Amino acid sequence: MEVFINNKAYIANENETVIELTDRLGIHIPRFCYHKHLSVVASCRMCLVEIEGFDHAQPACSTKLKEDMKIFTKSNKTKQAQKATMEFLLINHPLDCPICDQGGECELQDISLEFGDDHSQYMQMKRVVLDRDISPLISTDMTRCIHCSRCVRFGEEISSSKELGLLDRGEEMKIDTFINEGVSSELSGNMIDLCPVGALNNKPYRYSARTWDLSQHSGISPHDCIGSNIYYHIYNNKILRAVPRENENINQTWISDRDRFGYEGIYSSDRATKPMIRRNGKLMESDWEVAIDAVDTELKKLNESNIDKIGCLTTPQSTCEELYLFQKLFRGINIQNIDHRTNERDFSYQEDFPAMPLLGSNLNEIDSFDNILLVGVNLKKEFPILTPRLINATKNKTKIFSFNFLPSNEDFPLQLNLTFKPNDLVNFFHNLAKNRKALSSDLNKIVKELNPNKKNLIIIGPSISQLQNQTEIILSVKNFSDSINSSFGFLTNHCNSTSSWLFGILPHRLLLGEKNQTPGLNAYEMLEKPLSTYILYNLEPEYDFWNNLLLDKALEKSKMNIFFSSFVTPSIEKHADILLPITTFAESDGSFINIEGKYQKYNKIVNPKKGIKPGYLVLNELIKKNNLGNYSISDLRKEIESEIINFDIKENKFSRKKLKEEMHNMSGIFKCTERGIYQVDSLVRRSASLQMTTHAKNSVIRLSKDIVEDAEKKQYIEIIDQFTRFKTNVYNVDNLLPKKTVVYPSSFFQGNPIGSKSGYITVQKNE
Amino acid sequence: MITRVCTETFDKTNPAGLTTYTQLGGYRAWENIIRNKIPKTTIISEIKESGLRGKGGAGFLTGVKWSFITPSDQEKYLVCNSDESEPGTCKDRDILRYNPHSVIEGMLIASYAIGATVAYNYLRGEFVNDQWEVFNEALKDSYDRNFVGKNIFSSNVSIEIYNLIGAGAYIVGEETAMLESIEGKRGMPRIKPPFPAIKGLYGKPTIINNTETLATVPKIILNGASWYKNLGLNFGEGVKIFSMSGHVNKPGNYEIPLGTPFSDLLELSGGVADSKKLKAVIPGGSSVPVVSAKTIMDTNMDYDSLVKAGSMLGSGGVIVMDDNTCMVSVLHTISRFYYAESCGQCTPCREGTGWLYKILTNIIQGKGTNNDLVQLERIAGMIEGNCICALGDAAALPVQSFLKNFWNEFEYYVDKKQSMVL
Repeated sequence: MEVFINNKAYIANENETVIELTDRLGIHIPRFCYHKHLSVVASCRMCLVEIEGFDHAQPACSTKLKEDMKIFTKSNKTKQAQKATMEFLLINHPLDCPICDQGGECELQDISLEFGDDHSQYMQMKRVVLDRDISPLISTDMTRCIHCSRCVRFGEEISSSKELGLLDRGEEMKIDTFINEGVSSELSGNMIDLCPVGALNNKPYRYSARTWDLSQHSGISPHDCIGSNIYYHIYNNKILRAVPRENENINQTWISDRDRFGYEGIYSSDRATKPMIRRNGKLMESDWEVAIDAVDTELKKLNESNIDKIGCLTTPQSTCEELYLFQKLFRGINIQNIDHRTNERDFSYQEDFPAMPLLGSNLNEIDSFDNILLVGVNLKKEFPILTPRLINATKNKTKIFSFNFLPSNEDFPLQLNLTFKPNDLVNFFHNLAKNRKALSSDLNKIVKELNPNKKNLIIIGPSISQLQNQTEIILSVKNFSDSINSSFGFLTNHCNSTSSWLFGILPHRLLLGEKNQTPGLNAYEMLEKPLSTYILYNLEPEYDFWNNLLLDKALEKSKMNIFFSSFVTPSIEKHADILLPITTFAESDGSFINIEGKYQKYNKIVNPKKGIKPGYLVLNELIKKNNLGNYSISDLRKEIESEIINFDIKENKFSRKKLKEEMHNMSGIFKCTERGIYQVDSLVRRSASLQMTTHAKNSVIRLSKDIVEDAEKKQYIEIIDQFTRFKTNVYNVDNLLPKKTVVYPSSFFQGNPIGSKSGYITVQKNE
Repeated sequence: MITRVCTETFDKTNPAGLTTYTQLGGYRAWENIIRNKIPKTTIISEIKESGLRGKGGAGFLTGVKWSFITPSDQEKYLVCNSDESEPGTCKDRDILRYNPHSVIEGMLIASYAIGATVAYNYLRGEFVNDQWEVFNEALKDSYDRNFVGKNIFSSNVSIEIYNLIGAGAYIVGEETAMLESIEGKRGMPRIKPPFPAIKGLYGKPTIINNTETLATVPKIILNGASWYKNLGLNFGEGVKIFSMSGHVNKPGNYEIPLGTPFSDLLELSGGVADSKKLKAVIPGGSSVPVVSAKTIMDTNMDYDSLVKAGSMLGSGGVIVMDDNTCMVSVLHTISRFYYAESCGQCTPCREGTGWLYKILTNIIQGKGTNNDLVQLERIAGMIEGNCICALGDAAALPVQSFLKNFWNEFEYYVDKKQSMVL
């Protein structure tokens, strides 16, 4: 279809609007309410353009193109209409640009420069709107609001959590929350970006810099396995804020609040800034040369007789560079006790597992599935950035089913939302795969939808990794998946679980999934029978282990504990013999492989403080000392990339077609630990702003109703498991929990470590 | 001169009763359609033929509007717009109160003609204590007689009518804002296109007609298109209720043939009150341009003649002003109305209506300048044609016409800090 813009002919697509075409061609039309991912309301009237055949200028955002349409973006009529809108917008807009954080990146400011008049004809009183504190993340100056309603539509359409709305009418119309509610969406920060003026601003960033003084650096989110693309804005070598970097294939134009404010952890006061060595029982400051020599000396002590007495553990939150050198170094000196799965207890799935966990679909194709089954994952709390994708998918007729051992609460419609105890979850999928008649007729009707003729995707979430029967869950779900010919995949705990598997940070595998003929101990075994030396890379003893009490005992008993860490936690202070302060993701060059298998690298965003070294450089020092090579960052990346190229993603499969089915019967009260949205990694845990949100404040034990009923009415209860005894009266009854279930809010409760993250325990009345 | 079509029951005892209505031939048209299975196209062409035009304000040909609905399997809706809020207009108020069955029958015929099985009557919030009750009562009676409901007269035709009440917003009288309100959303006009006949209530094809329009339909079907057409005088076709208000001796609703000279209508309503001289008339509700006495006295009350006179027939709310009326004050009152009733969604109307009102308040308070008058004209021009719905235009047109017709009076007020007519 041919159309004319400013008398030049262009080819337009069917159903395209004027603004879609001009944006595609790079012809500028000013706008406020229009946003390509939001519905069109045509209410700001800024994009009015002259179109031949119409008396009045028409909104470019809502006008569909027609054959031979003649559009004039610079004519007098267009200019007049746009100038009129601009004048109306400015009469009630305060002239406080000099103290407004939006100044310099304000769409209203930019456009008024182009269309505004240099003096106002408006002689009356300006509108003033009172502000309320709506969120610890978003500051409001609603007097500046121009009522474009982007924030409202974001809540309605993208995050599906309608928290902002329009109140009152006419000139008195304002954007506000429902009575005394605030904004609590996990994606709320995007409203800051969407707001074209300074009405909604970044609260933690408030008044800390002027936009034109900031420099912009690309980064990748280290807080989940999606790999959202981010721009970090830097002033004086400090990250002051994060904004989304558009990537239609991954995060579109959004990022989660966790990705936006997680960086704050970098500036936590408990950062490790000097190498430390324990002398006479006291941890003393040292320098790098001495500390690295000390580690090297420990490594040099290893021989055939004691090589199995050392355990090397790392977090899958590390960069590809670090993980690659980690295995290069420790495998190079023949250590086999290597693992990254510190949060797991059940490892028997590992032999059949693919070379690395992948989602089983590209993110931008997720709306092409007829059915999506979520097993053991609550996307709203664990992967908020996926919520907009799945909301969109449900609009595209995708049906979503959720099966979990904790109640799931999603912002998109679920066909089924079932909560089971872990054993019953296994049973359920066994039944589904084999014996459908065992189901109730209602359930059967819905489950009939899940058949081989449909395009299905099954995703297993990260929470199940804490369970003692995760193998059974994985296998039963995988068998069901095969029975309906479904795509199958995972969402993982950390941003780089993929590379941790692929690079063989595992006792039983080498690089690219190759079998290790002399397998070592897994992460749990390394702690169960204490070893003499532990090397913990970027791990926080308090939170990053399946059983923090067991770890504590192991570190207590061992002779030498070497920590590579960005933070000095109380446990590190207590147990470390050598501490090497390493960088966080932002202070070093890095890369991650996301859950689709996309390798994304970024350059150093800020310089580390003096005394802190990039992890890969520290590892390289040790590699040099052990004659295993010497890597510059470019050599290292070249080697990593060539390894990745060698890996055929199509071969990333479970090794046996039909997996063995096992059933363990477990009885007692089921205990598990919630992965709090702002508890997932060491940075997020230290983000002051995120910790102020309502999501971070939920810190009580949740009990299923029957437990409390059984224990009669009493003031407090006692929870007893293998490792701990708790007397507590700080608990909530959660009616949605399956019977006989206790949920801990985190690995720490009332200042005490809780021991194992999941298991079977007793709860009794306090005598 | 008074020609009773939808006001037929008004002077009867128990005007809203079902028997009153049926005795006057009510529901005969509907029964005939149902029992004889009159084709939908016949009904639509009859309405087209009659020249019936929308009586809510826009004056669009009703039959043509109905024919925009393309036959299809999907659900269709009819909405009766009883959100009568235009200042100066009070005709639907009386139709609902004194002749509710004509509205019900009109809604039934219209629903049948467009293939809708569900129809809504949306009443303005202020009707809650009177018309709402009367209409509900009437609806109950017609349900009892199976004029409405399931399987009407065992014909397999089912039409449900629901009575809805607004919450007091003028803007909901705009047809797409009304659809939003029925859906339970904030009453804000939608962008057109798509028009409601393509994508209306709940995304389905929808026809929205004014109460008076629908109340006229049964008589047209009963007596034929040419009967209705010939009721008009001069170039007018059919009849229209004019709500006479302002400085007349006998204010009220007068149903008269379209094309009746204004002077006759004025005489009918008792002439200008206190035998004063006529100064100006707003002939179609406060949104339409004001017409000076000289022009209006030579104008016939029909759609085309009023356009020629520089105004519009609108909703038929005729506001008569004698020569003691301060035009600055009138415009100030009118502009306050639009300022208060703007929904706020689009910029020119949200900001512009307030600006106009504030300038006029300034002038009324004696703080106006000549520049204010220039600004008023300029701002009205900036609003006009740049908004989503017609409310912006409705706020701009009176300003433009008042300034055009009575510039000297505004200039006097600014200059002397007081009204010319005091």
